[in-house]
Amino acid sequence: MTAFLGRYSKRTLLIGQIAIILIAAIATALIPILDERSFNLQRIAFFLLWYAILASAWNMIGGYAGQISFGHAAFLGMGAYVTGILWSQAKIPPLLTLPIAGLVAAGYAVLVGVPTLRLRGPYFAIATIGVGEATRLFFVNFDDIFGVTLTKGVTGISLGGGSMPTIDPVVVHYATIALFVAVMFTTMWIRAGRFGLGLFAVNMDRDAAETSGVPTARLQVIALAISAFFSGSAGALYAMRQQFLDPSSMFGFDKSIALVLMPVVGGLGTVWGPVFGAILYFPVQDQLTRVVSDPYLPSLLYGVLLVAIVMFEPLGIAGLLGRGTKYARMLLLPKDGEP
Amino acid sequence: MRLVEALISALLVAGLYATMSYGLALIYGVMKIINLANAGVMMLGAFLTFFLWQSFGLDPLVSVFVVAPLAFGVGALIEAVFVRRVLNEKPVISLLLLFGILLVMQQGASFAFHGGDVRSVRPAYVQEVVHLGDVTLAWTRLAVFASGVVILVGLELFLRRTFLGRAIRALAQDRDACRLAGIDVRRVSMLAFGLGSALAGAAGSLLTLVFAFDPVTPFSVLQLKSFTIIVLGGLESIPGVAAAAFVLAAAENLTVTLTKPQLENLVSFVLLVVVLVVMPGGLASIIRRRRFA
Repeated sequence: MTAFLGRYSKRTLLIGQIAIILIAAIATALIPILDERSFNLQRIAFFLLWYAILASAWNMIGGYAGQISFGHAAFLGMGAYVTGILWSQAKIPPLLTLPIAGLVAAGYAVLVGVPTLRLRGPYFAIATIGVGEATRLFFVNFDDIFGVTLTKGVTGISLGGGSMPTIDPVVVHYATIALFVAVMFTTMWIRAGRFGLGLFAVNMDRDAAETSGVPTARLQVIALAISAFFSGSAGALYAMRQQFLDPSSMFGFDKSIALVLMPVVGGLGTVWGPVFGAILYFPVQDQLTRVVSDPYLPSLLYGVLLVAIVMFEPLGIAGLLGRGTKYARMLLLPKDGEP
Repeated sequence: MRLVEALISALLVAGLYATMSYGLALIYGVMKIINLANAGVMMLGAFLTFFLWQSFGLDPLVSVFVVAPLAFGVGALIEAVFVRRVLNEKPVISLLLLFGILLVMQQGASFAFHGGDVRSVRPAYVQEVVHLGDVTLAWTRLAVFASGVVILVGLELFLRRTFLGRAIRALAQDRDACRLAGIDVRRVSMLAFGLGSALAGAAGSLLTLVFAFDPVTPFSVLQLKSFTIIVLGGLESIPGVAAAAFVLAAAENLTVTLTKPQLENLVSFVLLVVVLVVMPGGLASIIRRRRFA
């Protein structure tokens, strides 16, 4: 098949994907320019991109590296709180804190990843179940433990008021678009590059990969760090946009479900799957919480959806669409055609 | 004196911790998957116990004998309908599947039983205490501890003395060799999953005596604790689980006595990370006990 499609079509495919990403970016960038008062549209655009960033970031470790993380909200919240604290206490302009938030989250991920990913077995997944809860408790009790007033426990912190530097919502809008483009290019690089090839090898057969000299644990830790970097940066964006942070909005159960659900529904280990997942998840969640008064029904439906996807189409939406044509298959499915 | 009291009270909690973790170790041993739905079965067990007590005044210690067989059925069904089909896939898939099943159970129960309502089972003896010298012990905790010990002994005897128990241990060692030896691998897997779930159901019954509960609250935290326990115990070792349950309970009790009570739930995570760094093989590798397998 590769011989038939050849190098030329691979390049077309690459250029096509870059074009799709840039068109999406430019289209969203035009929203505040064309209509300054389009607040609802800007809100929808922000959250669509934001969820797409989070889903793609999760996919790097959950899909490509094959290590499920149930606690990715920890990295998201870590980034959000780093920005929140630096902004409110050190009075640093929030946009400058974004890379710091990402790096702190990545460092935290390395701390979690090194002991758990060097071992074989389900240790990483088990540890991540604890990471989310432990990080939430840490931020709830932060002030108590250190005897300071930084996170204000369950009450949360308000940002952007008083003597804090302000940030224009339009700037946050553009920063989100930039991060989305960055995360998509990173995913494409992982899928096409040598680093991603190593991850695929580890995911498919750890013994064989190790025998051929692939540094299995190191690759997975790096994948986790990149993933956490983007999650933490997304947390920083959330802090800038909502200008309010509390433990339940960052570490809540619905966040943990969403982070797993989107990439799985969209297609594990694919470039576009997480984006599909985010496009599907955000409007559904938005409408469901508005229409359905019972807070448990959406999560119940997501559980059923998760079971159904895993049983019948483990590659999710990308798997369904990828059955179409040869080009669809190359565009949408992972390298080996399996998760 | 406070230290002695803390250790004794840890021992009593350990009975419950161990009961809820045996099933996880058993299922991991046989199928090499982490049963995330464990907390869901535990929750169903607790609710069934509550309804039995409310409707018929059945004591939780008696309803264990009703709940455990039903939980066995639920577990066997989950294995036969869902888990069996993804057993040959990558571990990612079974984790996601069981996470989905847990979500369905938890959120379904929240939907059906009006989520936020907290329930508790309070039989007549719930306030009674036993005095041992200077130490005062709640009768309910003693009862839960005794049940935990009985279940441990029964499980060990079953795994060592019966054919099915030996088949389960054999399966944990080498699946292919079992096939060659003529063991019905599928059937034994199903029974092991059922047995593991029955233990979770029993733990659900017992915990109604100690905790108030709604469909989510104590169970998510207990799930995390049981993961710490099986990792500390060496993933597949039944005696390892019993020892690890005590270590965790003691660490928690000491933390609560010596520092802040809010940190109790942080202990299990810190312990988990420490174990993974210092001795990934768990207690089983340290005390060189034979695995149950």
